[in-house]
Amino acid sequence: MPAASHGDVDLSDSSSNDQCKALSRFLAGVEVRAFKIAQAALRHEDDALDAVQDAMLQLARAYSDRPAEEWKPLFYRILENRIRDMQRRRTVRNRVMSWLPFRSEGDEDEADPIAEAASDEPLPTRRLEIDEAMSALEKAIGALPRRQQQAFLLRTLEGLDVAQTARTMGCSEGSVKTHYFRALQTLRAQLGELHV
Amino acid sequence: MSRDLDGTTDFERQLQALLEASVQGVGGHARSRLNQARHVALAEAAQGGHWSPLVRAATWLRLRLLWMPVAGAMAAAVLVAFVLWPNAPQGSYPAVDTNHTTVEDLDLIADREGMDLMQGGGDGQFYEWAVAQTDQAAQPAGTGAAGPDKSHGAQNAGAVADQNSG
Repeated sequence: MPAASHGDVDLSDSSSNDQCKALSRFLAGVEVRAFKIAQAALRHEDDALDAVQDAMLQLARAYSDRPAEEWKPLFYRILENRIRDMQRRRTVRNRVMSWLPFRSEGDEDEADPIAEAASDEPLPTRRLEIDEAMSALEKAIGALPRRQQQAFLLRTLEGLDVAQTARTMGCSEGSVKTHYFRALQTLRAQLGELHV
Repeated sequence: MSRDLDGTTDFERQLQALLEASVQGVGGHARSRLNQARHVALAEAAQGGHWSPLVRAATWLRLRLLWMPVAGAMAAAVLVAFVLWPNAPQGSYPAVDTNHTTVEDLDLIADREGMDLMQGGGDGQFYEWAVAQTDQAAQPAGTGAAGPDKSHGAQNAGAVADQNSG
């Protein structure tokens, strides 16, 4: 059936536009948190950005016609797969590079202080306290086992409930609770009580 | 450790606040790249899931950057091997006693008199005569017919004496 014309509203176009706007809002809402989650797992800013970009593309390409309620678990599931792929690829790459005698030690990208500048700066002393606590937390999260890290970040940072987290991680709700609880125990043991 | 109605503890709330602060502190560079990525993804969705040239270019560039160090190193290794390969020994060359020849040559060059002898100058004739005399002296007395006669040797000796005195 052809689309309506002659001044009538084209319902298919309108629906597509709404879907596109909804997807845009969704991606804008999750992108920074997704980046932090990827960064905690990969410990490299560019790799984390690549992983998030891939997850966005994959969601848009394959699942944009799904109901918006399904996007978040799907997106984080895709992101998790991308993170795992990149970790494997990095392992292979490091193995190959370790065989080469003339690799340089300074291959890592140097941080650009201007690019790293944070937005909405609070007072310097307060900023320092937050930075120190944040640094300790990120280090502790980075040292968590992958599944605990995933459960903790999806629950705490992204605010997924237990069922959504279980769907994203591809495991039972009981496993999610166990991973989350153990992650909390480890963090409390390492960080003590936070004063932020 | 106090809990909210939803079971969240103080510690969890503090962690949430800290993580939220870390999200707010994400730098402009990362935000800009995320923004670009979102627009690329939305363009992808608008095209119905087909790979747009922009996405293809971005993917290709990223893959290239990812594997560039490895590929570069491999290419350099292949190049070095290729350059060095023609200089490797091919087949079998005739065997030359290089040690002996080299030592003899060095000895000859270092010995100035040896060079004079080789070039036939200086006292070459004298040395030829001296060698002949030595050979004659070494032979038994009854075999004198084989060597030069004494008078000829005396003449030679006289000529050499004249040369030396002159």
